[in-house]
Amino acid sequence: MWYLFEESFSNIRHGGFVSLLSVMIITLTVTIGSALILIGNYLRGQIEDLKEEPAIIVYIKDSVGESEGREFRSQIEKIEWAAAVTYVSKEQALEKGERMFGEFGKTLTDGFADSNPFPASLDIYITETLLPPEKLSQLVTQLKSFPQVEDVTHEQDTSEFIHKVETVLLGLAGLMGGASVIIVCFSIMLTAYFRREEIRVMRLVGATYWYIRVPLIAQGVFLGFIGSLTGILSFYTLYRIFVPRVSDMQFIPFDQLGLILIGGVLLGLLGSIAPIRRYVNV
Amino acid sequence: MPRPPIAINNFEVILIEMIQVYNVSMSYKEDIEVLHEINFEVKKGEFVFLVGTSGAGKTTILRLLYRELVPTSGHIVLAGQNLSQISRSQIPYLRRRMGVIFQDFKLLPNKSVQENVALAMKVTGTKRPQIRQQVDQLLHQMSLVHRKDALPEDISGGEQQRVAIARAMANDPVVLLADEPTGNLDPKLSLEIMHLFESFNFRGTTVMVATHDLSLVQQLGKRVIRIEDGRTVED
Ligand SMILES: Nc1ncnc2c1ncn2[C@@H]1O[C@H](COP(=O)(O)OP(=O)(O)OP(=O)(O)O)[C@@H](O)[C@H]1O
Ligand SMILES: [Mg+2]
Repeated sequence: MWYLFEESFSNIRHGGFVSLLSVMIITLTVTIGSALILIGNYLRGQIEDLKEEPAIIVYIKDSVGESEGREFRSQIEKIEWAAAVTYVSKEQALEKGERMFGEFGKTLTDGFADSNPFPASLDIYITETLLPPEKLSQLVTQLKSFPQVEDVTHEQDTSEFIHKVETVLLGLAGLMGGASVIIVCFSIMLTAYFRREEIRVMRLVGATYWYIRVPLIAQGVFLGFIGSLTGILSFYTLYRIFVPRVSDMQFIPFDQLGLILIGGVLLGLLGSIAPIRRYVNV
Repeated sequence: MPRPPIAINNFEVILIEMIQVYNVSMSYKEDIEVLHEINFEVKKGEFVFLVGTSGAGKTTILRLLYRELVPTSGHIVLAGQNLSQISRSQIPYLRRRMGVIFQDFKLLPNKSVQENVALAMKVTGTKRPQIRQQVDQLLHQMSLVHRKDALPEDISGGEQQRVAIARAMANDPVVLLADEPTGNLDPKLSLEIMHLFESFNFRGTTVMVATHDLSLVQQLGKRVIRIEDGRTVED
């Protein structure tokens, strides 16, 4: 066990620049990954909020009466993605408007006592929090084609934006992850190359393949561990500096930090499956 | 180095031939064959010299014996194991039963004398106290105690050679292969080392010494295997 520590530590020291580079790349990867998770957590919270709002609102023409409106509701409910459809009558809409405007609400609605300007509507809640954009616009066109419908509004823009941000961050994290694995791989190959004579002698006096290999794997794991630790620390610093100014995002919870750490170690482990048979098989 | 008493039904007792080399040819590069159909046998407990002019192929033969090289044709059987059939994972265990003194010593430059000797035991997973005891004894035997913390580059050629010998003997090998082990020693010390090998041999280790120091060979009067132009000429 002690041998492992000793070996991988001295390997890293000898690896110098490349070791440092590996740690830095992993640090960067973990920082980006952490940002991804932080934003992901935040967005998930936002989507939860979104879910409580109807995804699509279908405004019904004033000429359509309440019973016809309710009949229309049951028709809409059969559409594939619609999880729940509520009928909001003109009166309910007025009440809602009153609540929305707070203290001015009462005076406002009083003014509208005889001619209620709020249209009746169908609030459609959908099964998936994020409906694919094509599906959504298809649904909207379909709804608009009904003669009873005045207008249709939906939450498309928000969901699309969230999708894009997540895709970009994920792509970036993936790219950096790949780079980490490659650079750790390189660092371990370099170690094996520099120590090839020593490895040869050890093999000639009876060292097994794994006796040589395991410290090199430990080296990769160690690089991954150090890299993700500094990554988390630097991300925390960034978080403390920037986030309080722009929003109230919560920092990543402990269990997810653990996963990030494991992720970094995994990157190191993956990198340590470097092609060094050539130096070890003597 | 006390050896445990050998059990009666131990494989090594039944074994008569320790090294068997059958029609072994070897070429490093295609077309340039350095060994041509070599044949010889060494019995368990024998002490033999492998002699030949420089470039005759002595080192090549030893490298084949500890399976650093694989012959282009022919077979080598060592301690009952056919080296052309043994799997990669078995090679370390084969080498642990052999002690090898390399012509260029192959000491690790960044490790002390003591650590270099200990290396051979460390890689086998021997416990620290046992390594310590054995290393101390070997260093004493090789008169290296006062140099035990020095790095190989800070000691003389003869001292380096003795470190290499100590490392080769660390695991109480069944076979000792020595490639020019007295090349850097004066005649008196050379003879002393040979007597040391004789004492290893007396306790059961099969010894093979490659050398071109013919006067030393004559003084000891042991069996000689002569290599000329990559062919065996046995006496
Ligand atoms: N790695 C190698 N690649 C190509 N040719 C080699 C290699 N090693 C040795 N040879 C050649 O093989 C032949 C035998 O070399 P070897 O080292 O076995 O001789 P030797 O008897 O040990 O010589 P010496 O007494 O000088 O140590 C020589 O002609 C040498 O040039
Ligand atoms: Mg030689």
